[in-house]
Amino acid sequence: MFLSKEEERMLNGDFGEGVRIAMKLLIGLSKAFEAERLIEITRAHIAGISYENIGEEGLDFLKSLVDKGAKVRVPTTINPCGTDLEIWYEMGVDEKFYEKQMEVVETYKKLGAKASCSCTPYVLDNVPNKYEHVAFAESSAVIYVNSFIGSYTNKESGLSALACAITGRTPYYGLHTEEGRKPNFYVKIDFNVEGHLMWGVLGYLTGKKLGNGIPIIAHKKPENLIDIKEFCGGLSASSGIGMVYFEEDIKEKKNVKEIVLTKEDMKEVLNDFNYGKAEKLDYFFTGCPHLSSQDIINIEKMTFNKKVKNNSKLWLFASKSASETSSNEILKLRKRGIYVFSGACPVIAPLSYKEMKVGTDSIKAAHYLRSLKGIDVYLIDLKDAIKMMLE
Amino acid sequence: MIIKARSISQGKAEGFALVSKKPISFYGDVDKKTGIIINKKSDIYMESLKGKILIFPYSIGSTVGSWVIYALKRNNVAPSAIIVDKADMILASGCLISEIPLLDKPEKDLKNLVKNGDYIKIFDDTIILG
Repeated sequence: MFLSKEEERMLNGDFGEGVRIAMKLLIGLSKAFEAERLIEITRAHIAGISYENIGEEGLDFLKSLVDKGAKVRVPTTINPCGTDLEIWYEMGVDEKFYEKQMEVVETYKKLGAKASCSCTPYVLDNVPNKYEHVAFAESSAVIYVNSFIGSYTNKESGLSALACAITGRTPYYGLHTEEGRKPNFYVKIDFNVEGHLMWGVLGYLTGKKLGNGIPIIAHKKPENLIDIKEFCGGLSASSGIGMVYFEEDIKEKKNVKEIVLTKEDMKEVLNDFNYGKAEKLDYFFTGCPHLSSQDIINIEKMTFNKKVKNNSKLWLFASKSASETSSNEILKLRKRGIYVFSGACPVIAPLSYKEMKVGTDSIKAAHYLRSLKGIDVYLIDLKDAIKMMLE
Repeated sequence: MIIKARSISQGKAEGFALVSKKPISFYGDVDKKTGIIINKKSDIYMESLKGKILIFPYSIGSTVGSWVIYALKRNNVAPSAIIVDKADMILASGCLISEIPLLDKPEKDLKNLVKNGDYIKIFDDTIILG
């Protein structure tokens, strides 16, 4: 494998033990994925932030990197936490978990990362340009930046993205190469796609049918941010796909296998996630992937002059930066009994949701809540859910 | 018998073999405190990974698996080395930060050649049976 002089020095420990460990990790990964060299990156986004997931050992590892002098070399953001770091008690999270979660975030800050705590770094916190080589974990964000911006990133793991941030490098293979970005499927759609819930379903169904690969979706590119976010979320939950094209991106469709997504396929997915079956919900949340400030403004308008029913929960999950720019709306929503949690993820929070009828408009969240917490989840349109939860 | 493989995470190790013919999800299948396989569907259910040369086809499941491998090492219940058909991001990341030797693509199908309890030595990319 080819290493530049600086990379050799990183491996020799000239930049400290923390950098050496990160470089060793990248070289091992290069071997596993047959990358012949590393490529410089301009930014990184790290996943594996919830204390629920990484535990005490993960936290110890991060602290040991701090002790060994590791620092990120490029602008680096982090994924959501298991709890809101300000109103954690409103989420029903205990103080011990909050303290441990705080410690994880503080440790990432010591490593030089920005405590953005968002799964949508591409909106405000860490936005790459076209042709930029970056190292992003969080698979929905990977799909977004590759497909909707034209940046280059592989699907990094939380650990590999951290090593990339510390060295400013990533193994050069897969979606970083032109060869690795060639499409191999052409996906035709036999039904109408309207509204963000359905865009999520389209992503999920595409991933479920293909498993892996790079599809061209025979449809006009979605334009609304919320549609795109849900599409990327759905696709990332059901597959290993890291990039897609749309009809207008590619003129010639060479060497692609044609797949048709039928109305029946779509209905099967909707049925599987109990779409249209909820008559009453105890808890509805939206914001997977995280809501933008525009989404918060829209929901504020939709709930004007209304109040949440007794014993019902209507929760919104947004990135910290989105919340900061919509503090007026958040205050109004709070008076109506609607909570907006910042920088947190409803799926990886240490909550059981047992004995509750849970609904969401996000297929990604429905998928993971079902598999991780073993509960039934009801997929429901935002408008219908809001009507159901308000007096 | 000497068998060559690809060395993803380098190192020396020796110990008794523990062979599974099924993929393993470290997140969910393994108790990180004891190193015992807790997935009832596994063909090595209730076996301890501690000190073993663990041989299985490939890993599956959440990327949190890397942190579980690291936790096993920290809790002194990790396997001495891991040999798989094909290494992936989760397994490679976990073994590399835990300094557990990881080999893949062995020249021979070890899952069918090696039996539980066979003694194995490993030097980087070289596997010595018997």
